[in-house]
Amino acid sequence: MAETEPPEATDALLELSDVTAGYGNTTVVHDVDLGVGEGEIACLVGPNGSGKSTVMKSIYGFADVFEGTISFNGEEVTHRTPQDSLRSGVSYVLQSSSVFPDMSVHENLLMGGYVFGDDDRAARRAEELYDEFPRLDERREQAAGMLSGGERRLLELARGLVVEPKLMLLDEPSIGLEPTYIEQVFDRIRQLNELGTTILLVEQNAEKGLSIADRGYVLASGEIKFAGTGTELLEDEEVGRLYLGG
Amino acid sequence: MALTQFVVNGLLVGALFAAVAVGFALIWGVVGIINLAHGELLMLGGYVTYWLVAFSGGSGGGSIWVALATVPVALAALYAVGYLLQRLLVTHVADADLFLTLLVTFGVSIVLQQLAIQAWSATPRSVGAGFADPSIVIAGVFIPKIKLIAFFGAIALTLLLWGYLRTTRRGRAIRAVAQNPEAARLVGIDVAHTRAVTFGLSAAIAGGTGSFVAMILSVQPQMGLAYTLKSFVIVVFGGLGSIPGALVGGLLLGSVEELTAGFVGSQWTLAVSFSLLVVLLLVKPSGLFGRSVEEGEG
Repeated sequence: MAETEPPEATDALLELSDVTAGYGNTTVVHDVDLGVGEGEIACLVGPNGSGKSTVMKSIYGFADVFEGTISFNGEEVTHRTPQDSLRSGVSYVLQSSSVFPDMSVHENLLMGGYVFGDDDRAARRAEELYDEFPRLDERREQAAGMLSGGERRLLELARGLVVEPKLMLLDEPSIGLEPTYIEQVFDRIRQLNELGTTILLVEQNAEKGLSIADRGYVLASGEIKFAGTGTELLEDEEVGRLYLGG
Repeated sequence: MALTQFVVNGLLVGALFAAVAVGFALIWGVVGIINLAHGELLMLGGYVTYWLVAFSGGSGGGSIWVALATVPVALAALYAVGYLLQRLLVTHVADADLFLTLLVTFGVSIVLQQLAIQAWSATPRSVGAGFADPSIVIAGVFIPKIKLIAFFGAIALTLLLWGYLRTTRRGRAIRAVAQNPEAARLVGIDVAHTRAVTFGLSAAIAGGTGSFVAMILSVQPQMGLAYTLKSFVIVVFGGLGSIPGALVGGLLLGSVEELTAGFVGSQWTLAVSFSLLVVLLLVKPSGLFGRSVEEGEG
């Protein structure tokens, strides 16, 4: 299969070109070219430490971009902050647990709309999300720290949806979850996508991730090694042998 | 009757201890700093009140209203001091190890003490002399009016802070930073600014309490350490991050100190307080109120 091929710029909602990024003095990823079209699910796979999360963080404003450009929705957004990202419709669900454990489920959702600067607006959004996540509705006054791992992941997803993102960055949404919850979370991701949210996913479970993805990227040692549709990557022998353990 | 009088004295002064401790606990919980200069912030607040009263008509003659009017000034001034202290200094060591943060805040406390001695001399000063209002006497127990005012003032400061953290958007951001700084950044909170605001609030409540201390006791440059130590005892006692715990802890510490001073001798107060602390740490290390999910602000 072909080497990294730059995506067609015309329909890309998110586009990274030649991005070199890391933290402080440390460079983690080099010359990353990546594009996600509007309405797509794109999945980034690769071994541990290959820089998958750093790519996500450089998009969101959590990592330092040293070279290259990132554009979103036709605008250059290379060095922006998480606040800017949220306001322009990008939200990010971290790999590590990111609920506020001593706050109620409801307060956690309000925090999802912190950038609105308006609690009423955040509360209205939270009510809409309770319809989509009845599980959270039942637990709204409960402290988030008391939720099960799966419920917590749902809360993190719902909190990321408060800003009505155009693009959602999901970092290992299945990590640490029981199999039944993994299915639920992936169903939810598909649903979200069908409703029009573009998704960039990092997934340790590469087969699972690529199977729902329109577009896949294989990252190793901080560089994109392969790019293609999800199916192409799943069927590619070299990718399978090197990165999917197949 | 002596017993009741000592307990009442203890509760009156204990509210002030509680208010100082709440600020101390706030910084500990949100920024992760044990601020050894906390007592010096109280001292500065006390001097703000002393000098404002002195300039507006001289101590001894100052009216209670003038003294009370200085409280908001002390709050504002110390808010600024706290905000800048965090932004310019503490932020550089906040993620370093505990020892370094202790060393830095200890250094700040020494600097503030020495500057205060240079500027205002070591003479204790008081604005209380002017408030020769008679005490209220209830069933033989004397309650000086000014102490009652200071008591309610300190309770009000504590409750205001508690309400602010509980109900406002910015208060929720402060709790968010305390509970999970990374997640706080994730939802778009400016963590550095929020920490500085928190430091400002902590310093402000210390300064406001210092105003009341200046009214009922006295101020002098080296008064801070005792308040830092008391705060430490109260916070460990009430459970880190619990404002109600700090309030109860403060009232209790005040009572214990007054009872000790009354029945045993005032030179024993610190020894008794710290002995209680050691016993408590052995028996219930999480503090009297633990870190409960319901009440915890941090």
